[in-house]
Amino acid sequence: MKKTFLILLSLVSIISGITAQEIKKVQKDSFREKKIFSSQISTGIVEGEQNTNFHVEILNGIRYKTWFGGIGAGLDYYYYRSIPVYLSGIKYLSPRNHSFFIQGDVGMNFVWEDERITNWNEVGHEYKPGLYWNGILGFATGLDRKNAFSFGLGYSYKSFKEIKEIVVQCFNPPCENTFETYQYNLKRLTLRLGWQFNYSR
Amino acid sequence: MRKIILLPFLVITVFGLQSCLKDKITKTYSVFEPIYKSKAEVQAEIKSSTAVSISNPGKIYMYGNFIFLNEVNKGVHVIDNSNPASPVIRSFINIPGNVDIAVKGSTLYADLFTDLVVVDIADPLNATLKKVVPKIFPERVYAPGFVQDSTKVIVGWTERKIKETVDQAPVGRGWIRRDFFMASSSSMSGTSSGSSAAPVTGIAGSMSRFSVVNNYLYAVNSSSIKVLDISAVNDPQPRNTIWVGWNIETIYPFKNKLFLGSSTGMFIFDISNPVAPVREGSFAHSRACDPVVADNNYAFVTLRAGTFCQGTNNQLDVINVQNVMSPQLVKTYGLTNPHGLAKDGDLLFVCDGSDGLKVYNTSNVFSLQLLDRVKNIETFDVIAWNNRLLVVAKGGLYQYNYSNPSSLSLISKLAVNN
Repeated sequence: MKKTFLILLSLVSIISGITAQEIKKVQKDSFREKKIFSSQISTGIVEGEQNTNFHVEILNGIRYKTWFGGIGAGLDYYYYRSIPVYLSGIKYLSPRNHSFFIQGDVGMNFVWEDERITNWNEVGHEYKPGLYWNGILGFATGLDRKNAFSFGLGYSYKSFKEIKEIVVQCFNPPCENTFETYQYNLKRLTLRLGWQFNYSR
Repeated sequence: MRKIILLPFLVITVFGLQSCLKDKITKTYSVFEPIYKSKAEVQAEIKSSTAVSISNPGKIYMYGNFIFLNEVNKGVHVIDNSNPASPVIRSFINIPGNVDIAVKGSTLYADLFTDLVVVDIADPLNATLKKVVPKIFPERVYAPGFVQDSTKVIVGWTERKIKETVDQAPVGRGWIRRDFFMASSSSMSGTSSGSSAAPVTGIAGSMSRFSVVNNYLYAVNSSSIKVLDISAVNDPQPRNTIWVGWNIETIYPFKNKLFLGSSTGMFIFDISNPVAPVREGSFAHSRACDPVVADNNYAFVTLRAGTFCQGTNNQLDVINVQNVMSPQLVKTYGLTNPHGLAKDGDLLFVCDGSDGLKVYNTSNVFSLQLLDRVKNIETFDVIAWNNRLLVVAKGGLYQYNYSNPSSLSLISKLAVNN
């Protein structure tokens, strides 16, 4: 799976290089508008120690000059399916339509799995949310005044707890149960391709 | 051009981060280690001591104005219930490993892991050990994988939290705790009679594994009934062991019958010859935990799913036992998480776990009528006697008046002190 990730990474690098070189003519700059509502849908893969998985995200917020602030949520299938909900900040390195950017996300990660009992001696099974953050270096290229395409490479962390309540065998209820707690701290590389919509009057 | 220069930097960064892709999964669990005492020390401590608050209530036994309440694996609370509106814990009898109790006259029978202890409670505030009958409950061991020091007695457990890093946490991963060590067959002991059965010896809850009928103590373990002659109350003599089947859980006496609940069915034994119970009928059900009570015509069995009971059914089965050789299912009623139950005349009281206590009119077994439900308590076992209900719940020992069964009224509560 790591090969897949590296191949995709190479493709993105090549596309990025070609795009950067070929864009010689600066198109009409939508970034000059001061405050615009911006929405971004992105998808990609996350590559970690366990395997490579799919993720999809949506991010909405306000763009001001070369800055963006917003709220995002996604679906992350790495290890356990989860929904990261986060605050996001983006700094575009150039005011032009085609620009590298640095993105930082911080929020919570909510596991979205059935809390089903998997062992005969379990009586409870639950997941607790944990921290989520993501750092991305990327490149955005404006296609017109309202649409932009972006891709980015990042490093992402998601955590959560899995708690299993285990019954103690006894014939005299109430029986004291015990708990097994698993704390997951998962670190991954992310590759993200996105489509950005900018709305302005 | 500057942007293009950034690309190699990006790639290098990504490759550099490869080493940072180590997932960290930390598992935290408890390991319980035994606290030992010598048998001599333990036996010397089997006597009345200062009253202590209830923390983990187990089975109950009512005898006259006293309630004996098991503190799971610790001993027995002696509760003066002369005034049900204000019961008073008078003393505590230390009996490590105790989970079942029965009383006849002024003698308390209790299990101490594999042994049966006989305690004189003529003066409940000055209980004294009279005899230890060893190895009555050989199945009451800690297994598998745990070897107990056989010269000593486990009087408690210390909990130690273990935190370790695991490579992977797959579904169905391991578990190491006290439950792993607890005997799956725990001998536990029995109780005495059912609500309207044998008032001479007292009344036990339906979760009991001890039963006193006249001059005999019947104790069920996971596979058999032990018969002990207690005509000399302080000197019980093992008389017989009758193999029944696997996973026997409870025993309930009614007239000259014993009703045994197992995880796979109900068994009826005739004790016309008290030394040699004879198996008559049986009723098979799906796998579940199942205490049972009975009257002249019907047995009422609750089936509980989950935990180690396995199975998936939570229900009340009404079984026609007029022909004890061939019990027949009359009807099944859905419940939430049933445990113990009790019967008094046409009234049936069912502990339905977190769904509270339910009172049914059983005059028409084809259509049980729910008369009342006490909510907001997690109930486990119940004794009904003379319009007074003793209920063991997670929160403690409750007493209700059921003279108006459509509206139980709380008389008192002895709360658990955590």
